[in-house]
Amino acid sequence: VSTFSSISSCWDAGFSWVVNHLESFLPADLNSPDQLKEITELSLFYAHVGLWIPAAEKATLAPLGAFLHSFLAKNMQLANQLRRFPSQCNPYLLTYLPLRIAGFRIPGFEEAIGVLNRAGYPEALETMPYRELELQYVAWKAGLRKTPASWGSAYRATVLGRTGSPVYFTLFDVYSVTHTLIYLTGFCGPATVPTGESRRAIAVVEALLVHYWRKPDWDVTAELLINLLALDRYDTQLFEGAVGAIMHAWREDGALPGPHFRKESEADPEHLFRNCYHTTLVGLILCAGYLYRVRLRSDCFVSA
Amino acid sequence: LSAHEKRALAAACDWLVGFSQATSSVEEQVDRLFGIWACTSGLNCSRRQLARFRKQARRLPQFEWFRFGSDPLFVLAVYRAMISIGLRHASLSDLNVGYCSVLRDDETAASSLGVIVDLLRANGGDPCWPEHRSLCLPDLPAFVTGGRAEAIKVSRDIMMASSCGTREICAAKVVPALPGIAFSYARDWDIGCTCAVLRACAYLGCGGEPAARWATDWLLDQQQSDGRFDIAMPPADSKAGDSSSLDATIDVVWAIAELNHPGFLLKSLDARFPTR
Repeated sequence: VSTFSSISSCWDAGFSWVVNHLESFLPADLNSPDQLKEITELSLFYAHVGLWIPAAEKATLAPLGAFLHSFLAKNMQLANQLRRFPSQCNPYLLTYLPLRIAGFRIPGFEEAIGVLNRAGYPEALETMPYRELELQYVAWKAGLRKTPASWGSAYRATVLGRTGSPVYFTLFDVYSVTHTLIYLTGFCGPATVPTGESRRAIAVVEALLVHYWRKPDWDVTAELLINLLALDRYDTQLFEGAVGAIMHAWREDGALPGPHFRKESEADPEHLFRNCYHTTLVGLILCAGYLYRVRLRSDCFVSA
Repeated sequence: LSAHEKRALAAACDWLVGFSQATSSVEEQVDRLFGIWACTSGLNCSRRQLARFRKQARRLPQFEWFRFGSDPLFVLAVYRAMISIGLRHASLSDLNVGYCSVLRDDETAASSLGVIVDLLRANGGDPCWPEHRSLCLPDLPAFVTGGRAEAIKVSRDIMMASSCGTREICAAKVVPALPGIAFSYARDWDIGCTCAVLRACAYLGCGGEPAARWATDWLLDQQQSDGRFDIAMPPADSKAGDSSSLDATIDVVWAIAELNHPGFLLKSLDARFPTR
């Protein structure tokens, strides 16, 4: 009960922080795909959390939906960039497709996607295997692909699918693990995972969880906890302890500090946003996912 | 014991046997003997290994027991090993008697030094025998975030209270994170802390968990071609030359021996290898 209520409080505070910082998510230069990271993450967050929150609370997400739709519909430059540079399509697609998941359609982007498909993109791209899984997953959720990403060749090509011991994993490898699991399990599950892969994934994720909780790095810790939610491994002391630590680290203003956040620079709004927005979104996905899974479980009990 | 572990222990034992005694203090010689004993036990006390240990142990000089300034666990375990193969040593006998007299009237100290008390008794001494063993473990979050010193202290407390896994204790508060902590310090390239936590895993029966196995494999990766373990040293522990290699090598062979034969320091040879 205490975990549920502290997660609910952090969700409320964190979501308000995001809504109050919407303008900061906008890219300064629309022609630079590198500057779309913040808005892409906001879009992914909006679409997925929308799938988990109860119908009665969906209206709370409306300001985000309106903001994202207005940004993409107003700036047709983005859709044109997508048509001009198909080899750089990923950030543009990953900003628009989540809106498609939420039910929006913007004609300029729909036309651009048609052009891309005729030109053989995004399949023509050489992509990191876990990035490939990401695009497969989002395209499936957005209705552009018939089947979800599977525990097949793309998974076997990832770090998680190939290696034995995670002791030498770099941070980049760890991101590959968390993102691979996120896209194969639909972020927080429930998901059907082959038994052997599930056992191995839990062992890898729990070992890394202790490491990043110890550091602490709330960004990676939250992603690993999302993985454990999806793998149905959230009734453990380790999960409860790590979630409790994240909730404890959550700032009163609603931001969850990232690994490079410096307390002495908190008065600088730019520093605060740059070093907290990503971790806050990941923390909010964890909160929404946890509340969703707990509700799902209690619904099962009620119907049983 | 995997083939890799067997090879690693045999090579480490060769290096320890060849370690120069000429410039070593009595404490270093005792530590070295402890390492050779850990390799011997880890390798199932083969006749050849026992003969090597016996030969090295016979060379241990006499010393004034009250001047001995190193970990009492090592010296008492070495004495225990020597007794178990029929060797006597006057200084070690005096030391056992001396430590017993120190602990005889101090139940508080004795209650927190379980394995020391057990070794003193196993060596024929009569220390204070506390009714209860004290063990105060942090809760899980405090353990995970407590830092290196806390991880080592908790691991040592578990060793003391459980007498190297030969007595049951309740450590449910830290067990879920223990293999992960060993794994985490391996990722930080810290041999000493990884070994201490892995031994605690062995005593609590979680040394076979995947995270503990990955940490053990990482330890094996730190061995040099001459048998020593010292590629990774934590900055806080760095010392110059062979001394640091000696500490690290002893730490690793002790951890590997405990993971395969928990409590070997206390068990008699006959109890451990009844078919010998």
